[in-house]
Amino acid sequence: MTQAIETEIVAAKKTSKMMQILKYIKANLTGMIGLVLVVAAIFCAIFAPYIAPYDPGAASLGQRLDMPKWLDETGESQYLLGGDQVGRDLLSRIIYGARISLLVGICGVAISLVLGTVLGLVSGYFGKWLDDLIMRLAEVQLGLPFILLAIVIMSVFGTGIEKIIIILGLTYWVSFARLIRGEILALKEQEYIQAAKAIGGTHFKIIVKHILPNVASSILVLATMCIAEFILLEASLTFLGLGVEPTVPSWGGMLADSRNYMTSAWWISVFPGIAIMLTVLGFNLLGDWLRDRLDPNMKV
Amino acid sequence: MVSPLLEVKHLKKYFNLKGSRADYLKAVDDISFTVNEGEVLGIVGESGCGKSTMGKTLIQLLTPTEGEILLNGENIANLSPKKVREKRRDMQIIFQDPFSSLNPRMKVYKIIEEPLVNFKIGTKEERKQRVYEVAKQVGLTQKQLDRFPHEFSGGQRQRIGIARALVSNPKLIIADEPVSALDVSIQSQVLNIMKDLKKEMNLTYIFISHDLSVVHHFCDRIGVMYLGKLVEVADKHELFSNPKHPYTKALLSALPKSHPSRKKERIVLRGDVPNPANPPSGCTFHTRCPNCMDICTVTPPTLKRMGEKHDVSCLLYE
Repeated sequence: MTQAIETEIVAAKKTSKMMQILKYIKANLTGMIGLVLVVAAIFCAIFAPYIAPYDPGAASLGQRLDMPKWLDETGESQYLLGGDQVGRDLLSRIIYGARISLLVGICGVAISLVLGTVLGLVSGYFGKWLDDLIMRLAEVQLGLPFILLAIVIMSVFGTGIEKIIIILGLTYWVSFARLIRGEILALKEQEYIQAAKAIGGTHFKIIVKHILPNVASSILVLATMCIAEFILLEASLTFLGLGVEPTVPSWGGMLADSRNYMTSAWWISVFPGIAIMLTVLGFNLLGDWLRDRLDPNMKV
Repeated sequence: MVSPLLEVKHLKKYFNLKGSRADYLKAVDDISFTVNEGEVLGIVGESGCGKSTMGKTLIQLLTPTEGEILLNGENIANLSPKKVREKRRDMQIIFQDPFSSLNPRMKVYKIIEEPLVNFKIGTKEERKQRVYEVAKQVGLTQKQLDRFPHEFSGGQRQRIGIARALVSNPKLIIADEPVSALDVSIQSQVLNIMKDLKKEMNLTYIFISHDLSVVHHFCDRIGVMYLGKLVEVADKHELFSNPKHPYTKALLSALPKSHPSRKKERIVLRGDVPNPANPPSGCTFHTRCPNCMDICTVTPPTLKRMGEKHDVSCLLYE
């Protein structure tokens, strides 16, 4: 009898736990969708060799411009999302393409985040001539059109993924530096920063314990948004022929290759486009959700 | 004879105004006073008269432009940043706004413990004991220390701020309008805690406020500030019963009457506080003074001893 009650209680607890999780997901739906999309993209990038059904580089002219399997009535096509202009499996190439996009996005953001955070901190916290110097530098940087800069650097040093990452990192530090500087200027007016000084904190300690934790959420949000932007920029550069080598599967490159076949084989351009859109959307949704979530005053 | 704990001599804090090189804003202009150990000195004045700037300059959150700040006979003005940091163990500040004076991302325990960590006081266990002790003194339970500041009310937050200021056993506390952001019912509660702590820890306060009734309740001696200058300093009872400076008289006349039938003449000051970036010549108060004489527009007065423990800066008495 008691056992039966106990199992019932356990079951009830289980369902209530499930209910809680479901409730949480329902309340944070957009954030959860973003998270799922981002995790899916990262999963594809890491485990590409295991989940891709075909070798992304293996051309087979017999499968050239094959329709997606589920549309093909003749039953000739083997590829789920169809074949490209040299008969490679589109799905496998999209899965491998996630590697390039995420590598560029994450590494590029890492560089600009570190650079921008350090310069923004110095600029906002210490102020005076350092602030002037760094902000003027930022304005010069903002004046240079990104695509033009990329074209110049690529034509001098040649193309390559590491160059895209470095160019993006060196261009977008301005966004981080300006954001952090602005936040610090506001924070410095807060009495707890003055209090931190009054109770004997060193500059280093004030920055690490009082300023960084209070700007971290903004940095994180900007970083997720920036990853999305970098993925688009990498795709645009590759589309223009300034990105990764054509043999490496990348979403931008696939779009570029497909533009001659847009009318006859729409799937070559549509599916990589959807991949870009979903990933970018995922990062943006995640960023939005994090912004709401990380406000300490909103915590329930 | 009690020795002065703090002696301020000709303290000045000028702010450079952007744009032109010659313009200063004289936020604190040539202020001298002493505070004895165990005393509470109140500083009153209108908003914008430089009270808070003076408080922050005393504790070196702002570097003084000129003058000496002697703490226990040692000049702490213009020390190296490292030395200043060591000196802060002896003097602490309680801020006005309890909602912006606590880091929202730190738990209350960490907030109160931080001065001890910064000054390298005690082992981890000893610090814990000390934090609990101070928390108890300001009326916080151990359980509450595990929470974040936003879970507390204004009065509770201010008590956390007080605990943080007191945890390192300072001698001098500068209280920068500590209760003006609080509800009246909470004000007395916080003031009583501050009073009790003063007895228990033998503290000395400099109590900055614009609220005369609070100052009357809390302080031993009162200094009146106008446009960055100290115009009158006197014992509390002396100042309230026998104000000398016309500005002090006007301030006191603005207090509500203690009895409806008691007749009291209200002195109403004309005009606004002049722009501190461009103060009037001579006595800075002459533009609004009901007793203004010709000489007042030319000669700036200095703080003169009028009686026992009563200093006034006014040409009427020279």
